[in-house]
Amino acid sequence: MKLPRLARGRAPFFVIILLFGVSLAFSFHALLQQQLAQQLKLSDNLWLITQLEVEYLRFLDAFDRFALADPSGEADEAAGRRELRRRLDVLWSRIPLLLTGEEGRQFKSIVDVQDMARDLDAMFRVFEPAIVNIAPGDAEAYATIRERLEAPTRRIHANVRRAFVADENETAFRNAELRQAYVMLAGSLVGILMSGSLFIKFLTRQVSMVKSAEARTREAMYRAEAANHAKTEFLASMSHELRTPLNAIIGFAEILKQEMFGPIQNPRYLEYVEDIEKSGSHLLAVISDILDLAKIESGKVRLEEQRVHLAEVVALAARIVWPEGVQTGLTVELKIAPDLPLLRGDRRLIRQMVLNLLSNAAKFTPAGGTVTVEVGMASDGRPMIRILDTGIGMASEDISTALQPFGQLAPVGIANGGGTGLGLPLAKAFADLHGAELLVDSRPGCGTVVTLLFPPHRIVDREDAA
Amino acid sequence: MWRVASDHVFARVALATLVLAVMSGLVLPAEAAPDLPRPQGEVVLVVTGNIAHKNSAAGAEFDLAMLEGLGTTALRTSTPWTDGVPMFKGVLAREVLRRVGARGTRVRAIALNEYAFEMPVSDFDEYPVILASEMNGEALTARDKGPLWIVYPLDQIGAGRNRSIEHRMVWQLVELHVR
Repeated sequence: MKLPRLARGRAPFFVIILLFGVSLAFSFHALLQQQLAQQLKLSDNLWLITQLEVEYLRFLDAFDRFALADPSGEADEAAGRRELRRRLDVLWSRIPLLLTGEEGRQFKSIVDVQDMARDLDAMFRVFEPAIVNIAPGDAEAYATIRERLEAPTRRIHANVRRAFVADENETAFRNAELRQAYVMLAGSLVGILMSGSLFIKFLTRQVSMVKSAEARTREAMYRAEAANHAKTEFLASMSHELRTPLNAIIGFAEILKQEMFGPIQNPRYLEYVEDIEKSGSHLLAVISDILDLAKIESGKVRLEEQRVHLAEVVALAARIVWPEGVQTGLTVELKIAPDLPLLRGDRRLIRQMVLNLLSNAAKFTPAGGTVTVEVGMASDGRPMIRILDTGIGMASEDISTALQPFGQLAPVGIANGGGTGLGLPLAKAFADLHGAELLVDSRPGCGTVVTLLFPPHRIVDREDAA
Repeated sequence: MWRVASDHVFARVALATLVLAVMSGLVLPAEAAPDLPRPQGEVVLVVTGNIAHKNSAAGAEFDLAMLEGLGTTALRTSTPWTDGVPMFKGVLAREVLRRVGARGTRVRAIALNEYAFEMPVSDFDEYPVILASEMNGEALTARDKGPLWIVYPLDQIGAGRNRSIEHRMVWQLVELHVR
């Protein structure tokens, strides 16, 4: 009954797995985001535009030095002109970097940078010959060109500042993205931790469920035992309480039957009185059998160990079942082996056991049949009592039922000899108390063989007996 | 016995030495190139450092004609500084180093604006790196990354390594210093 609950426990398991998977996916996503943010090209804008400004100023410096210099020789002038040319080429080569390619495209979003680059290129195309061909010391030409070259410096600087602002914004945006990635990472970490602890909790709950199921089973067993014990106790005390009034009923019925205090007028009353006595006796037998069984079950029966002569006990029991001079219609054979050893056991219980077995044989064997009682030693050296009848017998699967209390197979009433249905179970219980084996072999219509085998340790030495 | 063994070893060493001598004798003439001529036109590149053949005090000077004389290679690749996928043309860097008998493992590329970057010589064997003098059929000028630009086949190398490779693409190249 606990198993369905365990089976239902699978649903949370899948939920947890799902949670785990989702959080794993999230953390992967967050990691990827972070990776992407890192891989985003660090902007080269600042480098490119500041380099433009630096090279522009270097070029202006070279121009000033060459144009304002006092020419000290032709070689000197040529070297100076080469340097001026170099500075112009270096500066000029930085202009297309703001316009073309992946790097140049970054400047599209910054106002005026690309316009400025195009204007600078156009300006140098116009002034290049004048610049590279200027004569050192030509103050007029210098002033004209210098003024023209001075004009864009403010614009270049303004655009450098714009690029810095744009970069700042970009960095802030990237930082925000990074922060978001970290938050997601932290979130998924928490998710993983939570689902992990949920999983552990789930596992421990499963374990405790199994444990409590075990505990419940144990408790149920304990309760069943207690109930059985209570039943036994109840039966023992109730049987005792019932016996007292029953004895009164039987006693007074007997007094009436014997017409001790005067004759009974109507013979029908006598018949009734006899029925009362019979029924009472039967009830008493049932009660004492129940009492015996209850006692055995509650473990209150102790064997009164005595020396028992099996042959004597069997002979006595046979005389009780088949009193001499009473016509029963059965052939009874007693086969008692000579020189039987004495047994250690409870004489009353053994006699009761043999009595029950013999009454059963008598009860279930129709007139004209034969009951054989053997007392001797089995081939393995165990003392043995065997009762064979030619009665109705029973199927092998019914034997175990017959050994159960109230397991009487056919409803046999008082009319055909009575019987409490406890005879065989009681015999079995008494046999168990002695450590003896009770074997029943039977087939319907072919009669029954009941064998009682006592353990060898119960044999009392012949010399002891003497 | 001892004497015989000793003679034997001696004979072996002598033979090995002889073989080595012959082999190097065979190889050396093949490696030797005719002396590097003086450049006729404007010098666009000077190779300095650990090289075998020089044509000036500084090292090995080249004009464009001399470089083209080593054979040109076309290379189509995109770059972060150009639009589209331009076609570059120029001499293979490994051919230039072979011509000057470079013996180093690293090359320092120096630009007109004194920018310099050092790269392993093995790059030039691994990739068809060229000293581009033309882009889309037009000569590269000093005012736009010319006259020589070290161009790596970026598209062929793949995005993963591009960032480190991009630094090696020195433009306005004026000097290669072999170390």
